[in-house]
Amino acid sequence: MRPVRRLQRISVAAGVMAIALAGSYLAFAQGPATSAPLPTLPPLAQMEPHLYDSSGCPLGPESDAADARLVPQCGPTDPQASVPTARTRLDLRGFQGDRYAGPLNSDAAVVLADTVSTTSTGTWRAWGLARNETSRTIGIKVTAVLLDSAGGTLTTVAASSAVGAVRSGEPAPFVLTSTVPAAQVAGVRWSGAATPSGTATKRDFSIMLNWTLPYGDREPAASYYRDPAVGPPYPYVLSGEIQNVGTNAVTRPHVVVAWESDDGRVQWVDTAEAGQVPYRASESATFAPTLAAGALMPFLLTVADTSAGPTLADLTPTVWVATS
Amino acid sequence: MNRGFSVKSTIKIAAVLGVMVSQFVPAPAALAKTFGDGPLDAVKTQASQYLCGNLTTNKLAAMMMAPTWEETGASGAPSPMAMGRSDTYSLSSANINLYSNATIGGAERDFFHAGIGLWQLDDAGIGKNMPAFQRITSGTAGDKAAQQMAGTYCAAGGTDANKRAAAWGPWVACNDGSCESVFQTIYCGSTNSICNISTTAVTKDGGMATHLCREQSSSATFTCYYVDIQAAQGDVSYWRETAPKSGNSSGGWPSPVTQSFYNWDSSANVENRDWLEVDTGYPNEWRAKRDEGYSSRSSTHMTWNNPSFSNQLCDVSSGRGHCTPPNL
Repeated sequence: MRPVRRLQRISVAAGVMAIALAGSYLAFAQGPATSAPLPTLPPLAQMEPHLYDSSGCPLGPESDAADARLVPQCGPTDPQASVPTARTRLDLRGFQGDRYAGPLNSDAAVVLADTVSTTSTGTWRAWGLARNETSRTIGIKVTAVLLDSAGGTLTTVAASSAVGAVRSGEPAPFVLTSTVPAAQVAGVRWSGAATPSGTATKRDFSIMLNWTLPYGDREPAASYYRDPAVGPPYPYVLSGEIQNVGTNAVTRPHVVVAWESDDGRVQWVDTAEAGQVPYRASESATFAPTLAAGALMPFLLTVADTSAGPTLADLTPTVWVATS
Repeated sequence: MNRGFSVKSTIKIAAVLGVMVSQFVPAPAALAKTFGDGPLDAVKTQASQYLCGNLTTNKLAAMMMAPTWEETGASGAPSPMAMGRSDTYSLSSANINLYSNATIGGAERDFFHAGIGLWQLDDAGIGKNMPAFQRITSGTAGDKAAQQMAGTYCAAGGTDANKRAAAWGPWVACNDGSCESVFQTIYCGSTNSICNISTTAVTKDGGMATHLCREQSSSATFTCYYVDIQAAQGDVSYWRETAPKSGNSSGGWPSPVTQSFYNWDSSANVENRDWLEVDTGYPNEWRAKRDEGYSSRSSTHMTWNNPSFSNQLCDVSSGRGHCTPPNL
């Protein structure tokens, strides 16, 4: 098991404050916080034209032919869904998870302290989310200044999120690593910074999660996904698909996943290019790097890390699809 | 079909019928398989609409049929109404929301199955936009399966077997390679025909019935589908009969199997499942509402309630349920 401790120290709060001050927080503090528009998926009638009529009512099953299916009388309209909060899980274009909705409290990239987990043994590492609280699409770089018990700086580590184009309001995962022993780290000063976004391509993808295989001693998979030839233990596997719901072809979409514990802290982050198999690639199908409008492409994320792998099966994946 | 996801404000993963993969021994390759006549007709019709590359109607139809035995646990004709029994709390705490009122115990068999039908289309995966009645009926469920398999097959490169394996990617039952074995049994390439299949009487909707319903204090009717599991067709020996039907009392395998329920969609794209007291024997009517597009494991997108007097369900077609005036 990978020991993880919660960041609940004063240094975190101080760090968050430093982040807020580093951005244009004061300008926002004078007016009401705004919310970012949500990049919602197309309506069901557009996503599933064979299964919904133009008004969005699911077609009845009486005929095999899509154009002859019964248009049922839909049931009573349910009350309007409540306005999503920061913890509402949302299925959006290129994103599936929570912490997207809610007000933009500052004009900055903000490290979400309550999502951060760090190691307590071995070298210091951290996983977490930072949120784009600006009104534009940005890249996000997270910096952590590691402090000793006297408040002195041990080292400074920084990394950019694997999601290169983070939309207004969107959270993005980060991973920080250092060579400093975790036991020496008494405090952390966090900061986030907006950087030029990695791509202008819209992230118009629908995400579907299909199945997982647990890490460890299990029957090896031998179909599209093939486990490594040597094992067990076999890696944790997350299988899913993306669909390009935009109007343009997209090249080399990749999937980024952050696994969160029930308290919302990120325990692991990984990424994989859609259409790629991680092991024994010569024995599996291949996919062109370009995903046409409307087309599907599978993705496979595997975690062979002996500490993290066994913990992932009961964690919650938050998923991003981005382009290079 | 898959291992699905979510809970509360989060999503998590659970097996639908994946556990079954190691519990059922695939039929020997040369042994004939049984399939329902209605579903076979629907599978062929749907296959014909999604041809691409070197796919023929029969080849794609055989690909579509290949996962259905393992996914539904059938040794005979797969049952269109099959309900997954492996989405248990012990497999993933996320699955607690599938249990009635998100509680183990109580009205155990008012269970919200996430994976349904011949392809066990799961509401965390490629079945997320479909209410139960579309996942049960062979035509609409087959439409999704055909679209999925053909789309992936024709986008993939490699050998034919490689491409088929990719097309079956969403179906966990295929992970052990058994779907290829079944395909080789039921598709005769030299004659481009479906072979070694015997058919038996199963309707496309597998025993589900289309009714008219209304809420008790309203005269406005709407289409509802009665998922009467006692009327389920095909091989129900695994999914319907595995004991205990109320599920493992500790939340382990198997999950409960639902009692009969009503299914409809609101015009706001909310899937409703309603369990009447007359069907369940429980003291209260329970209703679950799932936002189409979201996993039923998410408590923010799938909620349970006891309908108020005015919202209680009346099956107008059969006069069952809560049918005080205004009657039609």
